[in-house]
Amino acid sequence: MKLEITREWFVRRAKQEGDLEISAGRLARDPTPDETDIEAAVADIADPIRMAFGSLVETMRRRRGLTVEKLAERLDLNVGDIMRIERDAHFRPEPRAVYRLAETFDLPHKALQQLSGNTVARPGLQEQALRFAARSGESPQKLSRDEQRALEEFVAYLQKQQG
Amino acid sequence: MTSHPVFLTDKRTGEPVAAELIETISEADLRSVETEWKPVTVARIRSLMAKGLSPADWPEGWHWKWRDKVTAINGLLAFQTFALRCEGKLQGLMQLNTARARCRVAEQAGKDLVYVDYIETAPWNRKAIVDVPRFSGVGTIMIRAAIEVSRDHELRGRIGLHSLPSAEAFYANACGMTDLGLDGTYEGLRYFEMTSAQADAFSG
Repeated sequence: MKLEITREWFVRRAKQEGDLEISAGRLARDPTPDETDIEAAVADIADPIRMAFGSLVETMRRRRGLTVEKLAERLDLNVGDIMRIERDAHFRPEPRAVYRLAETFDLPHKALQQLSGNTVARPGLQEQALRFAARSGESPQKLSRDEQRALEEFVAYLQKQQG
Repeated sequence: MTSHPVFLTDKRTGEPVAAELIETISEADLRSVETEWKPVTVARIRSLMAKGLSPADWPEGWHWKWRDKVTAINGLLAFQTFALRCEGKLQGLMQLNTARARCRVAEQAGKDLVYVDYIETAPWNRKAIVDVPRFSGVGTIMIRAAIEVSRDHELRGRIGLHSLPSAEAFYANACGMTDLGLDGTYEGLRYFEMTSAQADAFSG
């Protein structure tokens, strides 16, 4: 696709957009109160700290060049458990499994238990976890420079928090 | 992954700022929705609930799940997706269907068009969610991109979409699309179509 938008064109057209709403799409009509359990729908939003835990495990595994299968072998866990740890933000791993992950990846135990949702997170962790999760992508190959930097910064934060 | 340099308006300064329109919604974008967009939307909903307001008064589309939308079209060639990023944050998403719909406006009835399945801007850009929106212009960029995809498919810029009720003024007035009224076959949403002449006027 060719998209040559000049600053002048944008300024001229965008003035008409202003603060107008722009959403379009199917199933756009919001559910009415009797059609849905609202609290459940709101609660269905994955915990960002737990999502960061999944991203951290995935990026650490990729940095070590391990397949899901190899990591499962090292931790004596099922392949399905590793996949759920990495991908399912509602899955709560056993503290024992988190302890093994911390040992394998040389990460601080306490901070990792907080990230996994097994213990209460310290103030500040949510913000750092959000930043890290948002910067982590998905690539079948090695980590990008930005992913590598995000990982190093987050691990440094966790280690500082532990200390 | 192809990206295009574009602009958004910084609402704090009123000045245009450089942004990037990326062809394809990535895993990182979906995570941005879940970790950055959702908490802002949920905080707003919780505050509206605390005031006793019902879902009818909540921001439209609060329940959308982009991961489900993108997963549903994974690997299908008839769809194109776009992510708009500015200052390191995801500012908007769009999904297009290039094989689904035909024109309804009389002068081009029956011809193919590009159908805009979904457009959404980040919650911090929505007046319905924050008091002072951060960026504006996401809709303008997305509609221009949809027009260019239509031209790529030799459809002369023809596009169509069903607007959420609160966004009708944008498509009617800011985009100059033809309002074909409420569509009883499509959840009662209002259908808008852009003719090739309207697309030329919008792009010019």
